[in-house]
Amino acid sequence: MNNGQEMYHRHLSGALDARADGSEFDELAKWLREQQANADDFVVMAAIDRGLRDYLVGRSQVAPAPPVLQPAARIAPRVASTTTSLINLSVPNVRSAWVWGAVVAAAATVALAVWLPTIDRYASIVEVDNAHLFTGEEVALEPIPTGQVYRLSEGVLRCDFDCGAQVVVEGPAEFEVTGEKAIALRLGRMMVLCATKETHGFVVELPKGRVVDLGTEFGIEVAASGESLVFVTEGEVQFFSGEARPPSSFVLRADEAMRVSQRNEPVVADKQLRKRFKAVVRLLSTSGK
Amino acid sequence: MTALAIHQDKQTAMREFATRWTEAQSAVAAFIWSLVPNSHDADDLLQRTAQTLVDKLDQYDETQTFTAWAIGIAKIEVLRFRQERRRDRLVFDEPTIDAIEAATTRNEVDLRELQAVLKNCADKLTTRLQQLLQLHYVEEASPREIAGRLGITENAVFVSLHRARVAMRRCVENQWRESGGVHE
Repeated sequence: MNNGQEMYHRHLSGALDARADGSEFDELAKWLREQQANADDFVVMAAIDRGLRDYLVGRSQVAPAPPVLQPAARIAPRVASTTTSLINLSVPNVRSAWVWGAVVAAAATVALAVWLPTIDRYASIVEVDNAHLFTGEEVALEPIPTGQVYRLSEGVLRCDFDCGAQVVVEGPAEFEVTGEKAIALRLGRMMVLCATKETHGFVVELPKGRVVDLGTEFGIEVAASGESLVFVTEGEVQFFSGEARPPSSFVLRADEAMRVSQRNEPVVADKQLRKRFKAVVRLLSTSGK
Repeated sequence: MTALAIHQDKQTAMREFATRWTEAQSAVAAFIWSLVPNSHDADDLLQRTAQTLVDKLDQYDETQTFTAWAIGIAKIEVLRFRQERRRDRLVFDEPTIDAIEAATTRNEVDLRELQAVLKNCADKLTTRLQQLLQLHYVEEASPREIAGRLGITENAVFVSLHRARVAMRRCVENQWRESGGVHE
């Protein structure tokens, strides 16, 4: 990275952290206008920054945050899944190359063991009905890798989680399995059945909140605007709204529905609403619940 | 045309919109994020843009791509937002916004594929950096608070955030290169 880029990146970080002063901000603006490549780089950098934030926020909703060590409790870095931490590994009084080799091999084994679980598969697609991806491919019956985004252009598919939860998605839709008992729905319609004790606590992450199962069957619609509709057919769910300030939560029971936006509005769970979920319910009911 | 036919037409149009929006959303969001660092403001603008797109769907001219049209609408929303916040001196001027608009349209494909590699790259950051990012992004702790909790100086917090971003950028580029795409 040359000096010009280094300076730009510092100004960029300053702008993203809202601590840049007026002259730094002006310099950044001037740099952006100078060359197309500069503006290209800036757009990608800002998207990375925001994507990173969204990923961390999403991860924190389904898993506990990594512990933050207090200054007094700080210790030498543990062997983690990164090259950097291997380099920083501090092992005093070890001089022999053989011993170093053994240490590196052991560390690599541990790092591999830490890394391998990140490609877990907690759910599989078990049934499809005219389900196609935006690429035009037909959706295959296969295990779903965690973190892989599915963009469904049309049709319906059912995926079963190892924990027992069943999820039916109707396209157009965008979704992603995010954990053992978690799925993210960014667009489209979905029906979730959590019939057993093991499935309780199943989470559906939405653009503006999340739904946590409390033993139930429920439907969700996410519009392109990010606005969601939650509709409970059996049992109850807890909804956490990330939209409201401060964040709020409420419980929805059978035959209750809620449109979730800046103002959460109850919706009548009438025939029309049930009709909208007809295709997804049909595939769910073939599971022999 | 019967009421049923109109209803079906509308339904088809909305499905078409949903399909196109799914493809355009990453680029539109990236455009807004480039100009509006506050995540809550950016989310509101993205939502406003989506709503405006739905309202103006019948005005969409197919001679331009849907993404370019959507970014154009987002630009109007950003300019309106800028007008509302005109006392805030840290906003880009119009020529800079134009440059960013053009850059977003040029990089549409990269921006759409970014999400797929971000997770891998985030997981590769050191535990220490992940802790710092967790405090910064998730807990929205102030730099002073982060410094106190991690036992480092406030300046070191900014330096580490900068390093994390640069590391992420390098990792994303490497992943794109490895996938043999057109991103180089």
